[in-house]
Amino acid sequence: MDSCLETIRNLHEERERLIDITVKEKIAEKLTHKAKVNSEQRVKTFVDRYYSVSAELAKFYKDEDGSKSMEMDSVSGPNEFAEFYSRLKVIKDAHRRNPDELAEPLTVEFQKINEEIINPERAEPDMVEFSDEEAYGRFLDLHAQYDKFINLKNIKRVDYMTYLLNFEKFTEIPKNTTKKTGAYKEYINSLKDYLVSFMQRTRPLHDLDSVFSEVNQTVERAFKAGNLPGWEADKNKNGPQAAAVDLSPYNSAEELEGLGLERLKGALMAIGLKCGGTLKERADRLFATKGHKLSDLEKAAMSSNNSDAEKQNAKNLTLAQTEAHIMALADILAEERTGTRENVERKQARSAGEVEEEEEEEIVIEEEEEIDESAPYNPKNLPLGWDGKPIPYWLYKLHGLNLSYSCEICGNQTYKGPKAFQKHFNEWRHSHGMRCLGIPNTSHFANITKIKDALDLWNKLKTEKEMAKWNPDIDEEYEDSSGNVVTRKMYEDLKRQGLL
Amino acid sequence: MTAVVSNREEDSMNNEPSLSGRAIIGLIYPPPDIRTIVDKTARFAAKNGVDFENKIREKEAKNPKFNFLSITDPYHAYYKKMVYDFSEGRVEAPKVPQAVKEHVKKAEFVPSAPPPAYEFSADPSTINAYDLDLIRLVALFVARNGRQFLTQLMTREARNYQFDFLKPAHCNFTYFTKLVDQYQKVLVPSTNVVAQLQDDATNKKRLIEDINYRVSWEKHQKGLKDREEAEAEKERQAYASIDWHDFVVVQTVDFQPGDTSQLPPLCTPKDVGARILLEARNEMQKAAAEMQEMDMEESDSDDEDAVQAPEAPAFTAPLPPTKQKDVIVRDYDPKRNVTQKPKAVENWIISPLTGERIPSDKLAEHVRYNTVDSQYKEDRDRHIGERSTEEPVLALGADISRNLGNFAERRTDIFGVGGEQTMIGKKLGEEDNSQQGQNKLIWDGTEETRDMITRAVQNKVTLDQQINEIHRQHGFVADPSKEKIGAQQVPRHQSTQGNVTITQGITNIPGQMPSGWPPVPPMGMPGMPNQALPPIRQMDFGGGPPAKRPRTEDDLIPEADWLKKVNGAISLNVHLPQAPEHGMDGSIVQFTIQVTAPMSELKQQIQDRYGMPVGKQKLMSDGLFVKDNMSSAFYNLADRTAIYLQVKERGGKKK
Repeated sequence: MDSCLETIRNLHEERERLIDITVKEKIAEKLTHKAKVNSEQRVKTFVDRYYSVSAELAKFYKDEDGSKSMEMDSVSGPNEFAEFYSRLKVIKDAHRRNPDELAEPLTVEFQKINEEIINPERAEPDMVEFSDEEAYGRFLDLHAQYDKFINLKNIKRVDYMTYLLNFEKFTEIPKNTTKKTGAYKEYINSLKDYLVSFMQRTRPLHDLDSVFSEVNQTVERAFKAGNLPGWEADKNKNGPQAAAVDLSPYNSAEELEGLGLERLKGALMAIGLKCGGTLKERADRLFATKGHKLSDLEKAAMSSNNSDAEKQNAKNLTLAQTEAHIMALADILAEERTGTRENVERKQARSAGEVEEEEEEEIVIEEEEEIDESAPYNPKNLPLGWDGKPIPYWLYKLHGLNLSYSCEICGNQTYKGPKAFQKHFNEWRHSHGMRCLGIPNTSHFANITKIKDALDLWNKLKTEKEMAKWNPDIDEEYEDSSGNVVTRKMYEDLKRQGLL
Repeated sequence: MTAVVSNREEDSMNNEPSLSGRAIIGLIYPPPDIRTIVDKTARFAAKNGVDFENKIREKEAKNPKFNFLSITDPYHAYYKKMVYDFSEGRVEAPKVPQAVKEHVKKAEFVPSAPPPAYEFSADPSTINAYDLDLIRLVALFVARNGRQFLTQLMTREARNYQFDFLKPAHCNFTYFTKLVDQYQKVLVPSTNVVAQLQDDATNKKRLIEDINYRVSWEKHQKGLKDREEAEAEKERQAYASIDWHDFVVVQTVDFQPGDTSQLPPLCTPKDVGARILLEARNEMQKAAAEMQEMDMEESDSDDEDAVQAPEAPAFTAPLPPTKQKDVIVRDYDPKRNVTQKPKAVENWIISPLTGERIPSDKLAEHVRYNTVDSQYKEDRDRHIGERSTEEPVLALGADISRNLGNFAERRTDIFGVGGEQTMIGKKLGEEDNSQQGQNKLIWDGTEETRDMITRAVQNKVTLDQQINEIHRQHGFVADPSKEKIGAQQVPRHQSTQGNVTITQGITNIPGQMPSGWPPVPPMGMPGMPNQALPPIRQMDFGGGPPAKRPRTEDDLIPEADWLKKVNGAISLNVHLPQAPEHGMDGSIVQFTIQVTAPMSELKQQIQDRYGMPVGKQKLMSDGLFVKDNMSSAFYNLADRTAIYLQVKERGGKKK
């Protein structure tokens, strides 16, 4: 429904619920630094929503288009029941078309937010972007500004730690040689931008505009009085040299040229005239003022010099204000600065760990290079390992692969390493060779590679086998009446001789 | 140019005193609170000049905090140094010490009033979209048209259940009521609502301040609640820690009955505990007050900034219970009342009609009953008769104890102690008799137990006794030598083989009863004593007594001792085996050898006579196989000792 009055009431409810949820967010317990930063971001979201809702509500109350008063007139009056029932019919028709619609009042929305707030151990997403150096808002990352700083003109080189300690001390920077350059302006602007960005990410509720306006007023007041630290040396320095020159003794411009360039420059500055140009030009300009009052001088020379001075003053004031802003931000972020210095010191102390990390990176690079190669480098013709690369040479020698053995029975085949040589006696090639020789491939013939040796051993084995056979003349035993046991041959011999 | 000149003068003036102060006194740093004031004044003095300093000195002449402006003050040197530092620009911003920050935190703002309540936050009971829209529509019209519209609507929709929220009993009635209030605020807003909303949209500090105020209020409330809970817990702990055993009776005070009104009201143990805690708390408050006085003496300046801690609430002991009006009775003796009761004395009279004892006051009624109703007398007599018949059935009181005693004697499992419980049904004292009875088996004369007792008696008789009886029957007892000989035959048969025995018998007795010997019955039968005698007599002729059991070499008499009995040559009876190939027919042949000669000589003589090789001869004497290298004396061979020759078979197999 598009009731104007209902919308106004809803906006009021939303404002109050936003305040309530903000209070709960501030009271809720935060366990980690990330939770605190995220809580600040959520509070800023609620506050911004509150501002927009308030603006919208103010617009409704102004009632420029008269919709609020029109609705009020329609609701009241003699036909209130007709209006009521017509609106009721509209509601019924709308809900008949969408029977499963679920109401989403502000109660449900804020209840979900409240449940998330109450739970202190919930997962914390990254609501804002921080660099690794910043550790989600715990430390500062001023490396870029440091590089710009050490590249400024006439700046003594310092390390990052010292820079973190002294970066807001602008009085130590030379005024005439460094602060007048464009690089310095760029440097302090980038430094201020970074600090403001860091503040918005970690302290979004901090009102920097009011801080800056106060600082601007203070700096402007001090600058005009001439006692602002770091910007007051101009007049003091030029004071003694700005004495006017008495022109009475001089009768011509040529005589004034004897004073020198610097003297003439000082005299011209004292009376507000241009102080540039050659020696002759300066002498002529100064001699022209002899006998005349300042008001009668040429306006071009006077206005040009004054306008230059004014421009310079305005520029200096801007730089001074920016420096003051940086000082204010540095004070607010003192805790982060201290933490940053400790963090940098801690990282520098972990040199051993860093070396290991560098080695790991190198290894990764090497692996990538090796993967790209198609044919591995193998000058010694080493066998390839399980990963497709040659095995180490020490492993090659450990297994004795550098030794070769040849077997005549296998047709003078060469085998590398004793393991392969011992294994080949049971393989098909050696068995085939033995079968051709008519010798069974038994364990008797292990370690025999010569054909002659194999044949000799085979004949010897056959002879021994024949001798082991049963021979009745030798193995059969006979016993005589005296109990003597003799062989059959001897028994028959004795019997034949009649000795039994 | 004037400013420059004044700065120079100021610098020249400030340099000398600070240097002199540093050399003479040394720099003394003031306390944090005074230091803050000194730093601020020094900053302003450096900025505004000596006139500002003089003006402050005149204005604050009576303020003790600004004593450092005078030269005699110990902090004046520090003040001069700070003025010098500020003028030189060394100190850019004042660094507030940590102690001061902590001190300021303690004096933070304490909210005194609760923040305004939320007007537009109301939660419905349901989230049905149609119901919510309907409630809002009705609330809008009611807010605009007033109570009259509500009444008329209720009248119209009395039976429509969708409008039940209009009734006070409905769960959404409160939500509806709040919505009406909200719509009224929207319809009739306050005059400055527009300006206020615009200010909320632009002014950011107001919202932040409101939120911070609410946060501090919530924390304040939580702190108060925690403090109350802590106090309650401490109270409970203190009460629980009271050691009631520390209380002892010091003195007993007696009060007269009339002094009751002067006594304080009675109290319960809980009141005593509360009173003790109250006294302890008072002592603590006194100690705290003393400490507070010391703190005030030490530093007066802290008094202004420090926020006084809220005083502990005055403890009021709970009111004692209502006054009791009990009367204290002295010398109370509960037994006295009983004895004081008057005891009625009753007179009993024996009725002449029935013989019963009747109270004297009821005698008239008794007589009337007995004389008027004759049936009463008959019933009474019958009742008495029935009661007398029952008496013999019930046991008397004296009999009951005796019966229990008898019962206990037999039920030792119930009434017995220790081992007696295992004997069920046995009377105490019968145990010994039963044990004695077991030792003797006395026949009671009945036919049934006759066989049983006979078998029991026989089982107990030992084997020796049976033998003696049998021998006595057959008349062997008179001849003990024969009995001894009979006993010796049994081990002999067990130790030798049957064939050898048969051969020996035939050889010894060739002429007597050859046909009757083979069926010789086993020895030891008492029925045939005559047949056993001949073999015994024959054995006596053969030689010394034979061995009773298998012998080993350990049983032999030592060779030296045997030589003392037997000397010179002995003749041995060698029993030949049945070996036709060696010319042996199983006969007995005598050989003579020296008692000290080895057995190999005997084998040599056998070989010389029969041609059997020495390697095939195996000699056995009394169950022992003799060795060739041993002598006859070693084996205790005497004259005419029997030696058995066997053939040694090759291969270990026996044919």
